[in-house]
Amino acid sequence: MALLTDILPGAASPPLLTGKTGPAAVGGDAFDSGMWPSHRQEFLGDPAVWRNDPAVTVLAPGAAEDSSHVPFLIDATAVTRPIRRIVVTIDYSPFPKAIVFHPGRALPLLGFGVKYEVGGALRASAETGAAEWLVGAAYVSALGGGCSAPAAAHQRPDWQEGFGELRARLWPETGRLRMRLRHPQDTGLADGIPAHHLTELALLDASGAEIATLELHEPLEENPALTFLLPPDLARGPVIIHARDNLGYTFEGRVEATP
Amino acid sequence: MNRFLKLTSASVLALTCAVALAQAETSPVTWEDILNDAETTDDVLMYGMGVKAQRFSSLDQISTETVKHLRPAWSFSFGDEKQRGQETQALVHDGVIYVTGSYSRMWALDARTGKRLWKFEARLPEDIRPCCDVINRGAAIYGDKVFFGTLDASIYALNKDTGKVVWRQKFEDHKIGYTMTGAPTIVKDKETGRVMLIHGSSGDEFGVVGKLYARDVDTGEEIWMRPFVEGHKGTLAGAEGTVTGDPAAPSWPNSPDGSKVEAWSHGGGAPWQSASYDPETNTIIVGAGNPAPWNTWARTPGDSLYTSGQAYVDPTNGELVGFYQHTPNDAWDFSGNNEIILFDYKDKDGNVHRAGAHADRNGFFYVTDIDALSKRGGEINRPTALLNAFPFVDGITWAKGIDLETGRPIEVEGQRPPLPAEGETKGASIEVSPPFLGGKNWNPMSYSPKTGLFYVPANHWTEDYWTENVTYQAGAAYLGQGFRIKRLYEDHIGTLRAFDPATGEKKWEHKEEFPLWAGTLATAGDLVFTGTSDGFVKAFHSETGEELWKFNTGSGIVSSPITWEMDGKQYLGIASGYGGAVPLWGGDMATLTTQVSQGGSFWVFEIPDDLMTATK
Repeated sequence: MALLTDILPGAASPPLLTGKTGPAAVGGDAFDSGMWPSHRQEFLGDPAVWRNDPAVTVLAPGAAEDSSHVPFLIDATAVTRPIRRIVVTIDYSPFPKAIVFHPGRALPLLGFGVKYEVGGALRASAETGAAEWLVGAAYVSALGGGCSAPAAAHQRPDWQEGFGELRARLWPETGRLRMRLRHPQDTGLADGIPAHHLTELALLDASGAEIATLELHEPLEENPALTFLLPPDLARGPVIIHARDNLGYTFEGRVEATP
Repeated sequence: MNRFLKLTSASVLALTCAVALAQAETSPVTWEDILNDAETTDDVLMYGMGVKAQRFSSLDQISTETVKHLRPAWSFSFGDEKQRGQETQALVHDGVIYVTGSYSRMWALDARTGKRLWKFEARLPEDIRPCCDVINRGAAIYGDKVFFGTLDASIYALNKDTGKVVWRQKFEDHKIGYTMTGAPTIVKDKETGRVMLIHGSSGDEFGVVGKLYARDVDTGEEIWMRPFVEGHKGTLAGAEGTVTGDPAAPSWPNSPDGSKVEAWSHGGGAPWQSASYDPETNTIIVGAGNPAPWNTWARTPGDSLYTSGQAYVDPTNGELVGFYQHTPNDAWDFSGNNEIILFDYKDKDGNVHRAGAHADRNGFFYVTDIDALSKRGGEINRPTALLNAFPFVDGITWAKGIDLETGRPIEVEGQRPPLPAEGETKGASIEVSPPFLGGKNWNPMSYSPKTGLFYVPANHWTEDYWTENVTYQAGAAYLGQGFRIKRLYEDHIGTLRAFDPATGEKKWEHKEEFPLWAGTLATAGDLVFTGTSDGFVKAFHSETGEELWKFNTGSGIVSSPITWEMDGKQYLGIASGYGGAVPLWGGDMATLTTQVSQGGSFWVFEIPDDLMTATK
């Protein structure tokens, strides 16, 4: 299993962290419980073939320290077939569809944070070229309220201060790309604050050709931080990051590899 | 457990919405559709209901006979805790109503049922600076997009079927006072065949330089920008363009060191209302705002071109080709923004001219020669391109009249408020009428080709007016004037009046207790519709002014009515929701305006089928 933890300093084999599978991953529930059947129908197109598969690992804290920022790492690098997309859904969220990740030429690994409105499972469903869905999950206990509280940016006099700032680093030896974008990620549920969140993000190579794309929805955390893993040829950089939100603001940055 | 259940139902709701989003697409809007807007009764595709902005409909099902049966068909609540200032005019296309609301919001509604198809809400910064409430006056529609301006000096193009953002362009810095409240307009340049979105900005009260923009409808890219302060430079095709008028700007004074005075750098003239378009001469016609600051002495000597007048702009290159100034060196914030209605003017001798009609805040009604003003070449400022002018309100103090020979006002001495005396911070107060809120403000009049009359939503009031010292500070009000609005008459402020443009004769008048701040609509059913600040939609006989029908919408009306035909039936639509400049700046009007509840809704009226049958 090629978890990112393998390549962290001091990484051990077996890895320091491993994703839970089976009922343990969803808080002791059977996999086919709660909102999952309807989400499968709505967001995966009611597939005939799907199964819980340990090759799709979802790493998460057991309990959310901050419901506005619950960190996850999805690693499907152990899946042997090519992956078309990974659909990230949250069982109990006012916005159950969080992210759709099209890994393209990147490895099927994604680190991100989401807002949790109430404790429950987050599921990563990977569609392979063989028209089957491999599903991983993690259960997070949370106090909740992350989707309906105003973004921290609104405690300041002007949310536009620093809005759109993009920071990123690309490590050529591991292919790890980490980026953070200043964005309030308003869901529209907080009183008097219209929905304002990212809708799409793309990684491009120096020639402008697509590496990977993300469809993004309301649950993504404020000032989202994202981690990607690139193969050696792309890890040399540079990588262009392009993003857009629901109000038509666009964001663009270019990151060079820094050993 | 309660919470759990609530959230579960929220998820289900989200699913339902996702399914409902798959709306049927309506047909794309073409330039021919827009050009014919005034003639086609099944749609309303432009602010002003046609390129001539006449606000006239040939529909006559709702008539002086049948109007008594008019009833609400449905009403839609804008919702949110943003209940103020609904100054919008809705559009109708293929059975869908597109209506904008305060705080930069827009909705698409099913015209038959009032069902919401989508909603768009801009996320505004905290430091927007609208002078005169958080209002929006409407959208433009073309192709598969609807367009509207927002209070943070941005313009949005949304997909008309989904409400999703196609593009967004921020055209200026909202922190220094640029905003956008007016409805943009679509123009197809005859020369290049290019369809463009035309819009201006607001912000004269903060000392912005007024600019008119043309944008590519598909990308939002700026085609040209034209500043309305003489001597400022425009843009064309992404590069520096020509200077507006004389680069030396002789209509603005110089400092003792030979440079232009401070006021010139912040000269105002913002075209914050919507343009008309003359297809015959391929000319955009739009009003230019007041000069900044209001304080006349900061801009004397000179006429402060090209402010407080009507501007004629070539869509091909954005050149200002002609200008008529209603108030030279405007000392009273009269502005020139009010709409210019294009019509065939038959003068007293029976000669017909292609003319523009404009009822200015300064109290005078102007009929201008649009052929003379849109002619390319020669002096831009053309004061003699005037065909007629007459007062449309009582008690004008600042001028005796407009000299039809010179085209300039015959000013009354002592009506420019004096400078503060040595050691004083305020000048002596004088009384001026109309006050800066105008004999008529932004709320558009209408013209009926059937009666040949203009229906002017006017107001009678006056003001105490005095000069203060003024220095420019970015983002702060740049006026140099103090004011207090007062009553002119005990029994009324608003006065809806019908005028013959050739004789200046007032055919009838209807008085309203509250200020009139809603647009008017004339129909072939011999009716004039408008709304009142105390909440009524009203219908008047267009020949006599007799009030024939009214209905109270629950909040004040400060919007513009529209009418259209659908499934063989005529409908009337109007937004309700009090706000605008009067409750903010109305001085003594507060005793009236504080009686009005806030609101935000759109109302549609029809004659129910059984009542319609009964009338036959």
